[in-house]
Amino acid sequence: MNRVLTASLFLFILAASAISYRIWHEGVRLDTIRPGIGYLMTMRFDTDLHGEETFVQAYLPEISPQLRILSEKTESSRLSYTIKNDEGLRIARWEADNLFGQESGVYESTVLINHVRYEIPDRLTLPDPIPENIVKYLHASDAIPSDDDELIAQASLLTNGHATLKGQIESLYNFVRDEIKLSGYETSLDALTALHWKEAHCGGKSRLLVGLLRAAGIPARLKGGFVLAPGSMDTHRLWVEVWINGYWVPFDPVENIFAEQRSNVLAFFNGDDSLFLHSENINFSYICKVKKWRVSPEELMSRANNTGYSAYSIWTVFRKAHISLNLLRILLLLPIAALIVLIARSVIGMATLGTFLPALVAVSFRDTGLIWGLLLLVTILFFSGLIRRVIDQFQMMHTARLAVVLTFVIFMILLCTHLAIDSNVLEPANISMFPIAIMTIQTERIFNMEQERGFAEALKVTLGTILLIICCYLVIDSDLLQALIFAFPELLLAVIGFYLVLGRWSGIRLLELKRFRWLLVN
Amino acid sequence: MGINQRNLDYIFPNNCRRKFASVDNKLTAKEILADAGIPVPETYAHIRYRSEIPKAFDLLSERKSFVIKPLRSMQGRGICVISDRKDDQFLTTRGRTLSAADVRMNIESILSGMHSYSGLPDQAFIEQYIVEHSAISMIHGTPAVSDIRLIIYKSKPIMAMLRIPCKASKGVSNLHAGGIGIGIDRKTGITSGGVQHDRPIERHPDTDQSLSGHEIPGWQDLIHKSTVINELFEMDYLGVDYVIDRDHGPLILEVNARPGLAIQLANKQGLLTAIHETVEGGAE
Repeated sequence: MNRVLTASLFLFILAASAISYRIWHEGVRLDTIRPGIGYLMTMRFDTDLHGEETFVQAYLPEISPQLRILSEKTESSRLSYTIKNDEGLRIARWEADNLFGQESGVYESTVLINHVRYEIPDRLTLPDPIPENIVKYLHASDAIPSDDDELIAQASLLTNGHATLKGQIESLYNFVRDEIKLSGYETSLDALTALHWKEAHCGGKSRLLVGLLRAAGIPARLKGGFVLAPGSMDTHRLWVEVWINGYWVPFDPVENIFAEQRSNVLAFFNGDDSLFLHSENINFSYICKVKKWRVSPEELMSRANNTGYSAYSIWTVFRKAHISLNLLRILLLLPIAALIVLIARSVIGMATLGTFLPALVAVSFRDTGLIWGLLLLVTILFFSGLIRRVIDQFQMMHTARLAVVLTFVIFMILLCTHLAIDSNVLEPANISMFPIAIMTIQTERIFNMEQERGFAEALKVTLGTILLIICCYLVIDSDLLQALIFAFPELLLAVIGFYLVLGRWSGIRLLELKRFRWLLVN
Repeated sequence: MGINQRNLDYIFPNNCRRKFASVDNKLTAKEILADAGIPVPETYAHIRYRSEIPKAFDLLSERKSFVIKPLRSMQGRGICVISDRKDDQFLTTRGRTLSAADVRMNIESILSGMHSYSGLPDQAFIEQYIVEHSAISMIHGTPAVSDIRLIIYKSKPIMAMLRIPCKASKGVSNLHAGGIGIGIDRKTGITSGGVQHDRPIERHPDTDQSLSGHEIPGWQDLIHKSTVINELFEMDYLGVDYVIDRDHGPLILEVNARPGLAIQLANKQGLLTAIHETVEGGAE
């Protein structure tokens, strides 16, 4: 036992040091691959073409350190398009000449936005003078007349008595948030009108806040984009960014955002601009559809690699060898699932079909999802059990019998895929990944067990196996665990350490405790 | 004792894996025992390949009763007991009548590995039909055979139990199948109460016979023979299965290198306590 404890302790230390080394010396950060809720955004415009030279241009999400674009594509069947990148602000431009009829363009991307809360130190003041490239964010414009006396008076009234920059911004922000009612309809009000009417939409409120800030001598600008939420949108949103300590910090009096980058706020452009610009002589409409997107470790890893994730990564090796990432996922998660099976068998004392069958099936469920996977598993076991019963009458020999069941299992998998695709449900179609041979052998085992030990026993073991499959699935489905294993495969050394300890654990199993209970009492 | 401890503290250190083959192969085990002068049921035929089946039938032509067994199987799987025959009609102890083709099928399924540990192809052998001593058969009142499991550790008998069939177990004495396990006092050979499905019972469910107070015929002889078995097989923790034949007394059916734990329930005593009393206690 001591040798085993020493060996497993060695493995734990080895894993811990490898991980620490990678964190401190190679700069591996879990943050870069930590999963989260991202959004899948599909922006689509439709237009009519009449043969003239026509263009449509649109801002794309602005590149920023807080935004991770996991995938992105632009599509149009007949229009040519180009993307222009101007210090992070990106404009896509679709062009047509001599085309007729309906045409559309699609921009689709999966994004993950970091949530950042900015602390404004009380001592912080504006630099004097304001840097040259920032001065323009103090200038007045038609929609934001920050040199207007009324705005200046309002701003100084609000900032009066607030010594700190933070206090001044807060006072102006609170005024626009609380005193200007949010109108229920779209209006495009300038800052002064919004102040007079005491009612405005997001544009009006934001212009007023920028105007007041500028009037108080604080650089500020409008920001345009979307506040992402599942559903569809056909107008963009405007909010405010204030120049604080060299950063552009978001504020939104409509969403009650104070110095915070929310994970659902996606910026496209600066200033009082609009999302789309197009030739004047065309019909044009757009819609932006948003879905929540649970980001998978693969997407995170691929993103991490694209942004110069420097650490040695098995993922890169796999990609070079053109091996499917799914295989890597199965390989890395299988030892974790095996650990759960080991605990269930050696510590709890559950009887399961096959040793690592629950682990293998749980891993293969990653393709179909738990519910579909279970449904398919039970259906296949049930029908192949029926087939097994039918061919039992022929008194065939073992291997031939297995071959018949195997072929029926394949038939059933084909049928499931077919039905799934016909009814447009895609998850069960992935059943082709299902471990077919395993299912066949299990059918035989369950059937023999039913013959030898009775239906109750066979049912008990089958249900126990299914329960364990569910446990394995729920554990390996954890995004955090997957990200951890992907980032630090060294963790598997520690898993081996656990195997060693459990492999030498001579205690009574939980279910034995129940079986021998009246012996133990005496 | 739990299964983890049995494996880690008793089987792994005492039973070398390479020696397992000598007990898992029932014919080898029987040869080793017979060579040492320990009585075993007579082997009529050994069938390695399907082509040997007709020859086996020839050898059996004079026998009215016999038992077909797989060479490697666990928990009594695949055993077919023929108690009588009329020409080509074979009567099993379970009351079924089999044709010669059915018997042949039975042997073939054994050869294909249906009952072996790992599904690997197996061999079959045919041995003597045991008529159980009436002192034991009267408890269950059927022609089926009971057996006695004795655990021996370092040449000392540790614990014993009698396994008898009942209607619920469909005539087999296997505990998993619902057979009854009855504790036996290792010194006197007298039975105490039993267990069925891990629950204590006092009387046989079919015959209403009390399960305690029966003396196993030839007990001292049986214990005496058992003391050499650890040495014979070079394994220190073994389960030995005996039958008590009406005419020949105790015969060893097979030896088990991974004996089960239900014996503790039948004797209402833990194996650790019993080992402490007999082996480790004696050494102190």
